[in-house]
Amino acid sequence: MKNNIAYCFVDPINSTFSGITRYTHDASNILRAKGINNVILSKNRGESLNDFRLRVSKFSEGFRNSSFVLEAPETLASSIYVSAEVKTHIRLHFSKVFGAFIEGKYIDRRFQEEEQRALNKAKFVSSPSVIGAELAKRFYTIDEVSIFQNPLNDGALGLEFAGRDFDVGFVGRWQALKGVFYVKRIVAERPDLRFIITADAHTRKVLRSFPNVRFVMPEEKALVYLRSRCVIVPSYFETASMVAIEAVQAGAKVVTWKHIGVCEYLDQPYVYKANPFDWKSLLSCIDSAASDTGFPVDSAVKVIESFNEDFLKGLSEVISGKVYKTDLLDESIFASKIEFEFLNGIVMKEKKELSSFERKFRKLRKHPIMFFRDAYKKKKGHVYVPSVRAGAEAQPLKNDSRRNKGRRRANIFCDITDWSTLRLHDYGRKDKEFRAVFLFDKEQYKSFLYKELLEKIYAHEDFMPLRRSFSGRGYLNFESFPSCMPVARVVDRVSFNERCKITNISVLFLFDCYDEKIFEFFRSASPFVKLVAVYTEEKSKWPSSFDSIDCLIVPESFSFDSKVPKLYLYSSLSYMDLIIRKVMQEYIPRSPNYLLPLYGKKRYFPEIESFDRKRWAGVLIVKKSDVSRKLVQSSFNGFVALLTNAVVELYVREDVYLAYKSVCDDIYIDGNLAFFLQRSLKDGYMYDVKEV
Amino acid sequence: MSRKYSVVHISQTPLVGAPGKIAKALQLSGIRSSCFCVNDYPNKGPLYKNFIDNTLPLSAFDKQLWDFFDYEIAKADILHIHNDIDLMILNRILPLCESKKIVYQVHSPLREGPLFVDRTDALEVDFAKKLVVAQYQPRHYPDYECVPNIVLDMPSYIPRREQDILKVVFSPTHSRHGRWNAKNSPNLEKTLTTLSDNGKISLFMPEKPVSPKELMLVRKYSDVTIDEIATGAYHQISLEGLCAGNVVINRSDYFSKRMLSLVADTISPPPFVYADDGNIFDVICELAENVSLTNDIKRKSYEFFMDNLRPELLVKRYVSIYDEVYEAN
Repeated sequence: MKNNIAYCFVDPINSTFSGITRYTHDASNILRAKGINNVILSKNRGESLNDFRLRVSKFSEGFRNSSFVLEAPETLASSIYVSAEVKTHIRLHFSKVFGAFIEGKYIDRRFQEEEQRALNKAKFVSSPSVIGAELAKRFYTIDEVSIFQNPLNDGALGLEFAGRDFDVGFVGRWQALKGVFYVKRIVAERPDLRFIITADAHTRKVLRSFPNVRFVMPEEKALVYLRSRCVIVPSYFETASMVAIEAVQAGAKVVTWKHIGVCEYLDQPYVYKANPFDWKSLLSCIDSAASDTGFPVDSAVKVIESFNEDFLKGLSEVISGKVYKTDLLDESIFASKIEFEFLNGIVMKEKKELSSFERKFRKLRKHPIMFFRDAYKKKKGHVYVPSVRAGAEAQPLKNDSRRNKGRRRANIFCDITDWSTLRLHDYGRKDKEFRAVFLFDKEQYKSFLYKELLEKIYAHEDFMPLRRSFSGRGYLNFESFPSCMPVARVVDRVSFNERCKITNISVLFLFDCYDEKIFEFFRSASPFVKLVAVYTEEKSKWPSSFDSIDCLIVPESFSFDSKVPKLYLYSSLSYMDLIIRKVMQEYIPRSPNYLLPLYGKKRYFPEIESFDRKRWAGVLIVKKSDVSRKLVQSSFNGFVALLTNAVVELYVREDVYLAYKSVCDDIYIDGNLAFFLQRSLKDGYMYDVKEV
Repeated sequence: MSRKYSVVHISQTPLVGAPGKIAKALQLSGIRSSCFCVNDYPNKGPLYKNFIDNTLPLSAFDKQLWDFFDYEIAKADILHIHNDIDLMILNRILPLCESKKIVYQVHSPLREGPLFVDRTDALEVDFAKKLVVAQYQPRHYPDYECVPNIVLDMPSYIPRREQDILKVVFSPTHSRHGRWNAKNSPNLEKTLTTLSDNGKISLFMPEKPVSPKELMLVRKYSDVTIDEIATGAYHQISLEGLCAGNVVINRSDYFSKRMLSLVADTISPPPFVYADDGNIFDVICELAENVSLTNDIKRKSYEFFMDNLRPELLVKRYVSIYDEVYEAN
């Protein structure tokens, strides 16, 4: 039977009141009516999200490289574990992330990252409206989105028409995002209107005192559609709104905000559009919708039929690999650029019921465990308030930076504009071998390049040194570094305490720094810190020396003839996070630490077994007769020159090899040990030297 | 034999007496030489006045002595600057030194206190020669010429008698941290006190640093000098241990030892006993039980000092450097 299945809908919500569940069932029925065999995978009650994801992945296993398509909503990333060889279609309904953005609430960063990963895997992406697609593009990186309307299975309502004896209807869960604030306000301020509202126990409690409200059970929502003159959809945002389509099908007019997805398809006499969150405009729309009795029922049925046809056409086009844009849309609405900033935290702004303190205090009283857990997560940066990415201009959002301020102390290593007073964050000595800090130029950090790069780095949650909660970042003003002054004088101005804080860091990543004195400054502050210079772009003028650098990450086209212990060339910036992870992995302590042959015959000798890996960085076997000669030049370089000629064999520990990878690779080619020995001895490694 | 030039040594702090000892050794070999430091160690600290036997601290000077300082500078042919000095003092000296040769010598590591970076750029002086103390520092300053630290005390060798308990001296001057500045290793003090409490050894480990002269006396009647076993370097203490005919325990690696051989003009390595945190207990126990081994190493130490490290031998290296600098146009 499984072989006949051509399409599968995934429903991670599975709730009677959910638009996604409604859509899933309707779409499934419509496909079945057309003879397309399909199946719905719904999350069971009590099943954890992860179990459900695994079940979806297991189910799809048998459909690799076939024409089978799995459709999932983007929210909850239920298709995340599905193999990339299975064709996945992500339908942009409404992500939890948008909800958090609109509510101004904190949400686990993981959600957005997981959804992005699911989107990356998806072969097709579609949305029921342009605005839904546009909003999704501000949170996710998506290439092309097909647009076609959600279908509606007609005849599902099947109740007799009993006369429209109510003015206003409302269908939906009693949630802030659904705009219940406006429902409550209309009910309170317009006693002259009669309301019919689907209500659970909580809603009844809230609206108990208003005699002009009639409650029906949520299962009886058809009553609302059939008995009210107009149905209001005051949600803060909807990609499509199934309620609106259902209402139109049942012959009720719809009043909603202009930016709700359904407005792209329908206009008066079906849908009355109010200016977003404009109270007066909403009231006048309700008045005109409730008073206007004429409603072209026949054409409404046609409208819904056209939606269903559009859905089938869109789906077949998308599955055949094309990007489909429905022609039912009124394109003129979105000719201008959409600004989403007004949605940011709108729920909180509208409500104003409780102050921030009162809300927190209430939470502490009611859910003390949740209060402290969330406070901890907030401090650690696990959770955040999502913000939209601006369009082409890449301007930082004002609200965004304001919101960040509170969390800044947690992992900001430094924020230096004036180099004469350095204040650094102390990460403590615990796990200091794993600590990485990313340093950016303060001005350049405002561009999104670094922020996105950092987010990509933080996505490596399985690797502790790069986790958001563990690694640090900091801002410097490269330009204001006193380059005319000797570095010694700048170092002298740094207090002992601040220098100690640098000692608690293992690796410092400096992004796009072209001043070699800054390198020298940081390298001289601690004998243990490793300095990695990262260049995201190519400039004509490179720093004059890379002597203080331990690792260099540059574009492929880079050419420079000075020796660097480690050199990484990259072809595309999209690999940068992986290179940074690799560099970090190579610098952290290793166990076990193998001994690698670097120079000489690479033979076995018994002392290798007794080699003490904690004590020595390697074994150097030299000819006694060669090294015992007296020196003409009594400097260390002179001695190293004498020694390199006397070296018979050299074995080094793995961590030493990795720290000087490029230099070691050169040794395999040209056999010149001098630079390697000088550099590693300077960095504090010690060798067990045996004279033979 | 009197040489035709005179040398003035200047440093910011007494640098545990190192520049003063070089000046004294030069005087003994017939070269007019004096040594000044800008400040003594803090007068509430344990090192105050302990290292200025051959050094005149400028901060204590009255006007007459400042005049003496200026006079000495004016008369000198070669100026020897150690580590780093205040720009204020440097600016006072430089106008007097237009035709003089200036030599720079570094005593401290890079990337940690007190210097952090190569200071020669910051001093903005055209140095005729750059020198580095031949301990572990040459690996940080590979181009600099290596020179020895000098011990002026009388060498001695007092063998341990059969019935004597092993006498151990460990007296670090400070407790700083760092790759090369560290002195204390976690196990060392514990091991020493345990052995001492159990009557295996007799330990001299003062809580406050003792003046170097007293310490030298104690050392001469002891058997083992422990330098530090944390970093891989050897220090002045090791040289003093050799001078006192002690078994010298440190962790110096091949390169540190070879630097000493290099400036001592010998091909044999110094008879240091290697120990680190892992094996310090075994090393000391073996010495405590084996009197002939102790005496064997003690004698080797004494002989190495007598053959290679006597001040009149080591100072030749400085003299040849000054000769070269002075002769050069």
